[in-house]
Amino acid sequence: MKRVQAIHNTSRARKTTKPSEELSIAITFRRPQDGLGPTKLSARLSSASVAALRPDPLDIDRALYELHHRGFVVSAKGKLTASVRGNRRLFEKVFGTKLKIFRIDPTQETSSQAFYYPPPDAQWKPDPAIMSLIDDAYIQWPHIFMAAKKKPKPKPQPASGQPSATAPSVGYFHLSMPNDVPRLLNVPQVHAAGTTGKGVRIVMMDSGFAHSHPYFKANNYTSSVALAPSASNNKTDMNGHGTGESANIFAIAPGASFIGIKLDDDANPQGGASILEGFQEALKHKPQVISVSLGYDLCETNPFTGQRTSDKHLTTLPNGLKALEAEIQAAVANGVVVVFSAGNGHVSFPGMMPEIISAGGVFVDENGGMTASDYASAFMSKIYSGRSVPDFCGLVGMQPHADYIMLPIPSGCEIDRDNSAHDKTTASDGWGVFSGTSAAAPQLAGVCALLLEKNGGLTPSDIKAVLKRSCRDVTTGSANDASNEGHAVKASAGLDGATGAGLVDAFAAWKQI
Amino acid sequence: MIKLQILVRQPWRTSEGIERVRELIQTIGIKPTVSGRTTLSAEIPEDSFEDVFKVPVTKVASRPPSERDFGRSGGNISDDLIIPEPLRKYVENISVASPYFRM
Repeated sequence: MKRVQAIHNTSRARKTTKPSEELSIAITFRRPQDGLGPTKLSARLSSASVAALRPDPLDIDRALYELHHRGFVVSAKGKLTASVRGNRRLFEKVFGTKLKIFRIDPTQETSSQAFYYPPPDAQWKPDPAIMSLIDDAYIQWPHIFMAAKKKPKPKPQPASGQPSATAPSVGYFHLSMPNDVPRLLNVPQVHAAGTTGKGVRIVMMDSGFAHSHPYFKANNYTSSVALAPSASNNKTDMNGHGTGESANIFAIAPGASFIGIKLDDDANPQGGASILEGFQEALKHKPQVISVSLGYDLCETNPFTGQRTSDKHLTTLPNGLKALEAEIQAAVANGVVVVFSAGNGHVSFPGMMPEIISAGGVFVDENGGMTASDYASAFMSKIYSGRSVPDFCGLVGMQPHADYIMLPIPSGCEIDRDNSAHDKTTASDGWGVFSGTSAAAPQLAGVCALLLEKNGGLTPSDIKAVLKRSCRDVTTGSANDASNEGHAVKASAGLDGATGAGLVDAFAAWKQI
Repeated sequence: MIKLQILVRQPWRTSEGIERVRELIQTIGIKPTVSGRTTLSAEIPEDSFEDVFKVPVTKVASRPPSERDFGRSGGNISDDLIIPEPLRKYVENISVASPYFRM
């Protein structure tokens, strides 16, 4: 294990942080043929070369047994590495070293701002019986969250006063609700003809739906909210995602029957329901349309931090997603229109499934110019051969934050606080300017409800086909390069990879059925 | 509690088949939560997970919004699970529910 220089040692950090005595330790192993391990190679490892370093599984078990015997707790085991936990004193004893406190720049968003680690001059005399079985042991540093620099966060303000039904002024171009999003998707003509989604059941599953926000009341929107297993309190939304993005459905299909499925547990942010549980709960409500702005990123990823270790796409569906895949396939086969976000640079699943409508992003500027959103994903799936993501698009902002649609959210919720660092709303005003393909999915779901009101006999494939042939072509811009192994897919005339068939045109589709 | 996802084998993807799996999992300490047409969701206490599946499970923390998403849920991860003997006839796949992104 290499020793390190202190990173930061400011008096401010010393005052505010205390390292955990409990250490998380990564263990690497030696390959059987020559005892070489990954930390002793001078060449950089690749996904091809790493296979040549695979240790004998029996050696892994022997080493973990010895570590367990000395007091470490095995927390995870892979084919090449394992993770164990143990306290500072145990680590010092077994590896013959003395740890010191190291501190991280307090402006970095990390899981902890101090940790124990061997200093540069520390001795390193591990128990020989352990070292004969392993390649090396590394104390894991606190992980860095994917957010940019940490901004000082005002304390959450749990509704000391209700937010306003009217959005604040932010002084830059954005879309307002409930008029701009429907207008740009050619919905007002459909409403004028009397079609508002009446009688169509749309289920949206997300963080929560705090529809007591005055915006929803002022616009006479009504909803019911059910709880998925482990979710709590059907009136709240600590994150704000579900509340805000659901405004897209109401603006487009105000007459539809909206059923929200809350996944989050307010009391336990680590808990809450899985996407599969949410989907199963959604099916109980006999939906005609299901809208989901959640998903998985199918690249090589560090499972603990969620950060990618490579932009390379996975080529097979992980076992852990096969149940969800089958349940979605069964729902579509039974006539349910299922809409998922294509991702914001994610290689999104289920957003890449062929059976669903994959919602991508188009940005419409203040002069009406349309361009592919560079925030939204576009890629060819390596799991479903021939599947190009997205099918077509809703309205999504541009990088870096996709601050585009003014949406109502619970006062002081996570998005209210975090987005206020860049969207010029305040941390507790109950409004945020955001979008993502999370906005596109409910927009398209709303348009599907309009079509189903006019013709309830349409199948999911009928709806996909009519939307596809009635889209407005988008010929400029590129999608998010992070979704396509670093190469941004470009928009061009006709069907293209960046926007699929283009921006959905509700009136053109409605006229065709 | 650890969230589990259970995919039922093709011949048993009926309400009777789902019900059969629901009964069986309870005999090995797994509590069903909700089911669909082809799957069941369930929970198992953390301290009995390793006894039933013979592999460890790791808790993964939730994460707040970042530039690319609106946060990641909490959850658990594990190696592929071996289907316990009493379920093998009926179950095609069983897995731990892993964290997801808000997009």
